[in-house]
Amino acid sequence: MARLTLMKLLQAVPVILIVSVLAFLLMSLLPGDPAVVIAGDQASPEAIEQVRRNLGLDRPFLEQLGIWFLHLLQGQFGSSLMLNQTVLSAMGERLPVTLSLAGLSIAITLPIGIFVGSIAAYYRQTWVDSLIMGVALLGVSIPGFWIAILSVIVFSVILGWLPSSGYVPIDQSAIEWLRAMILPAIMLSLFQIGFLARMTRSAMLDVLSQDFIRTARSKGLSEWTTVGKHAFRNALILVITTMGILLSTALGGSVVIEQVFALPGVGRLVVQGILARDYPLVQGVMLIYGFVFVAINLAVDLLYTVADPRVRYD
Amino acid sequence: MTELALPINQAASSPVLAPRRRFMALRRLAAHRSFQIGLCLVVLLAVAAIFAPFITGIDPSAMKVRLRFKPPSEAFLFGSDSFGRDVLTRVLYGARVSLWIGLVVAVLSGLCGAIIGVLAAQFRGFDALLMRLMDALMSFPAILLALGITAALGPRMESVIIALTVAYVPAGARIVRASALVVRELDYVQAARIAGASDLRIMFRHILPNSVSPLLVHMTFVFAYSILAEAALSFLGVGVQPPTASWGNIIAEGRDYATEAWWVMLFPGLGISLAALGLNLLGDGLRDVLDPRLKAG
Amino acid sequence: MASVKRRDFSRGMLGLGALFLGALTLAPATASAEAAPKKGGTLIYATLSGPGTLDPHVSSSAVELEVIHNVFEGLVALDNQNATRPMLATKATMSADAKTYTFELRRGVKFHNGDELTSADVKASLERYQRVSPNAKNLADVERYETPDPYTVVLHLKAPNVVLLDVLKSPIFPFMILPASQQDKPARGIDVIGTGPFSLGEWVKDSHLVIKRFDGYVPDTSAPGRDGYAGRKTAYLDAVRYRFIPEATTRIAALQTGEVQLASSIPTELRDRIEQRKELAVREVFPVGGTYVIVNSQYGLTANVLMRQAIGAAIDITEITDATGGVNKANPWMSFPNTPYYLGESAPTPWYDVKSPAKAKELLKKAGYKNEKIIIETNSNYQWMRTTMLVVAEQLKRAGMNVDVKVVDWTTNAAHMQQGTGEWNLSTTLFGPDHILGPQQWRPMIYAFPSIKGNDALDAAYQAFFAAADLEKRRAAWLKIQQQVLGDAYMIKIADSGRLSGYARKLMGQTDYPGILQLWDVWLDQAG
Repeated sequence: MARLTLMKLLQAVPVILIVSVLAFLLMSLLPGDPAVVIAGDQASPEAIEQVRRNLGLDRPFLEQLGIWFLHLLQGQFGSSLMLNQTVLSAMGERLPVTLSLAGLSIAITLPIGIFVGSIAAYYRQTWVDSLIMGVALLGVSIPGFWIAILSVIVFSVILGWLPSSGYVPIDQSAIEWLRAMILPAIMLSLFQIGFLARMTRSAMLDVLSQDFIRTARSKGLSEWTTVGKHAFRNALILVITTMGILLSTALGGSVVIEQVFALPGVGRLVVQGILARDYPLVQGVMLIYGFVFVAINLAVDLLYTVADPRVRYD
Repeated sequence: MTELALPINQAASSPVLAPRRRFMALRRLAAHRSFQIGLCLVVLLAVAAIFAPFITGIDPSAMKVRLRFKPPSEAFLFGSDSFGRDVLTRVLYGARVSLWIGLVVAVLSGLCGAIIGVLAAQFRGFDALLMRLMDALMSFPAILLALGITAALGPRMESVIIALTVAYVPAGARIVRASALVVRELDYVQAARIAGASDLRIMFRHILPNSVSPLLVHMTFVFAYSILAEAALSFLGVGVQPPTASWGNIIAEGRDYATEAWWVMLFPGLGISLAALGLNLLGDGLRDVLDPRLKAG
Repeated sequence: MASVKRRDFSRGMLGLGALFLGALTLAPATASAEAAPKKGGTLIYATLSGPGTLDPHVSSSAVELEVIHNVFEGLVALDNQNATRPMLATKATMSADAKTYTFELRRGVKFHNGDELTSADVKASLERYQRVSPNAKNLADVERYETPDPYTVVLHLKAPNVVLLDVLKSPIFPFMILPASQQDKPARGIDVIGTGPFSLGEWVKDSHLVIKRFDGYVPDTSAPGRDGYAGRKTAYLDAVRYRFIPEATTRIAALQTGEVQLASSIPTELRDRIEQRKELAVREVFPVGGTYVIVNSQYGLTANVLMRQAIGAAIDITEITDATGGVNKANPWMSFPNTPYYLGESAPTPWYDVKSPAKAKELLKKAGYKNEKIIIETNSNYQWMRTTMLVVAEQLKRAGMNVDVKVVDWTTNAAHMQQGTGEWNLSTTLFGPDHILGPQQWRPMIYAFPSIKGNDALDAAYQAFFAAADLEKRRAAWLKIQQQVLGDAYMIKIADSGRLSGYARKLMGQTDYPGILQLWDVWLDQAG
């Protein structure tokens, strides 16, 4: 176990290195001279030269890369041009919003997705299955921002049940927080529920077709007990294996949802950064997200080996 | 091709299909209900897109500003937009762009994935490097990665295609690598190797063809995701730019008027949903038939 | 104008071209004349996006200025008639040779931190402006500042300048006075401390910003009431909460649900939806600026005046303004009606709103046009600009031109126009509102945007303008200038335009003055 953990940790090191290089390369994708772009349209040649020096763009490529790594080692993820703030502090301010949204959305997704997926598997090839899978399929097929805009019109304008936009911190008022977040979170969950229900169904079908279930059936054990027992372990493994993907799609989807509902999260920060050509900001946020997901994927891998006894590394 | 007829190891969940089984697979596909529905939807939309000029006969950018925001009627089946352009025509031409992006991204990312996956499986020295690179790319949420790349490359169709391709290559590479690793251990491949077949020959004659099935399934889903992703990028302002119509940018242009001129936003949204739905159904069908392990019990 | 859609830029996005979008003020509520103002309450205002910075010396975008003008004040400001009125100064005197300006400061004015305003603060602020502002060249003539006592500031100029006060009252890149302690702060790096009727409260980027009534505010008692950006200001509201909501649909939903009492940039099509409700109303903010097609006179085909005129002849203004929505009024001139430089009924150019593909074809023939590509450049950030250029593209196609539309981002688009770079023939922008100040403010924009070079008639007309002692002669020169600019189709005027804002009727005391959002002297009538 310890050896396995060590091996996984070692494997994550090159990934982190490559993530850093990729984020670095993003800047060099910029057409033309990044210094000109960054300095802005009113910049004097001296100002542009200053930016070039500040960012080290006047140095050879490898040296720039070296400096980039040096800064990362010191925990410097760069500074936003438009916010006059480091990327870390800008992200720190907005992370609660995005985490609220993603967290609530996953909290909605997990029980519903697994439950309906299991039901569909149990009643496989009946109308129940078709209905559930049909709806799940719609979930992964409908564009999120489209349905989100329609939902604002229905729930805020026509029905007047929920506020149309905005964010209330949870420590200010838990109820208002929930009222503000519930619609965005549900809109974000639609894709995820569809995705998870489909995953659950295939995983459960896998289990249901396995020998031990057949054995249990032939022994006359109640099918529900057997299925329930195995479903639990199965669900656990499923949650672990899909967690990375769910988190990734939740954080990706939040970029769009935050825009529709005017939520001040990381997604909107990135979009604002891109529109204002604040590339150091975009670069920094991508880098941090990259690191976070390396960590998440690592955790998923390790948990998976604990939860599923079938997985053994040679 | 005789070696393909060798018995395969079912338990290894191998995707390898013998010709006869391939034929049977086709027949089973033809009988698969969601495959049928999906195929109908996709073919219908593709035909509508390809024959768009014959269906409407209107220039998609032709404006009749005095006839803006007309609700669906005989003159404008899907209504008219803020420029008095025919929404039906734009949705049809938008289908061309959106489906084209989806198709190209699916094919390109599939190809790149296949090459990387097979290389990784065949040349074990490369494996660690390539797979860590794929891990790194997969560490960024796909839409965020695509957003960053399109923003850097400028808002154009080519940028969207490149960005989405980069975002979807790693998953394809992993899938191909996984099945290639299984295939390369099969007896007949080992036999070919012992018989002195070159690495290249083994890769292209044996491993690649036999890793195609799961990749094909994956590509179908990528096709669907790309259509959705294009729409999201357009919504965020970095997608395909007007006057070229794409489903995403028709919605983006119409979204401020959603309460008054619902038709501008509704029809392209339905187009995206139907296309994604069709492709997902198609993918489900393919997976059920081609990947026996996941077949419904 | 269909408005600045869903986003705005925080970085100093506009040069002298000062595309000033999203300005907003409040309607003259007829009933408010009788109702007595009430103190208290928080106004919630839905705007497109948040400010990137509240550093007034580098701010030119509307979302920044609509906070800044409520928090900071300058030496002088625009009054209701767009004339100069003292604000923090009580008196400004120009020496006979126009080389020395003496400002006497109002006494007892307090900054939000409690310190009293002195001449040292003024000197420090102007010096900082020279160092950090993109607009610093307007102070390039200053030789030195002198502060003989705490309430007097003297500006010594290197050369005579009769329009310095006109420069200092500019609402864009405003010359706001900060405490002297801010002198060495970098651009965008100040502590937000002003002398205005509101002080900055909580500011959560991308979410909301709160300004609170500054109870230590010292009003200008020499005026009977508010007067443009100046005069006697009274803050009734306890606080104003700016909420940043990029999506128009969501912004209007917030107004309808009562979450906000004021919302900026309402698309024309959604006007009815708001007016259906008896507690809500919509008002026009007009004029915000003038919209123009910019013709690049240094690139390709459009270097030829006949080509430019052909393009002008093909354009149908009504089609453009119908498609962009908003408030638009046709006006062939470059000055707004009711301003000193507005020259009357007839047009300065035969090319305004000709809408004749036939005439355009005739000119194309004369120009020897052989179906070469005409490149239109627009941006992905401002929907109304894109809409304008898409309609123009269709109109040119109808006149037999081969048109290619290129979409870039706004930063690139603006830089191309301001610096004459890039490969493009046509683009578009909105000028305003600072050019209501006069032809002197127009000059840099006229030369830069269409890249006018070597037009002797224009140069001569401007020389005559600056040499002319009296207004009539300056007006005559301004006519010649416009005949060159519009007649030779360096720029093609579209319309004077404004925008719509929606508000709850209980918001009282709004002013007619079409400037940047002013939150003093407005109040919430809780009963209404």
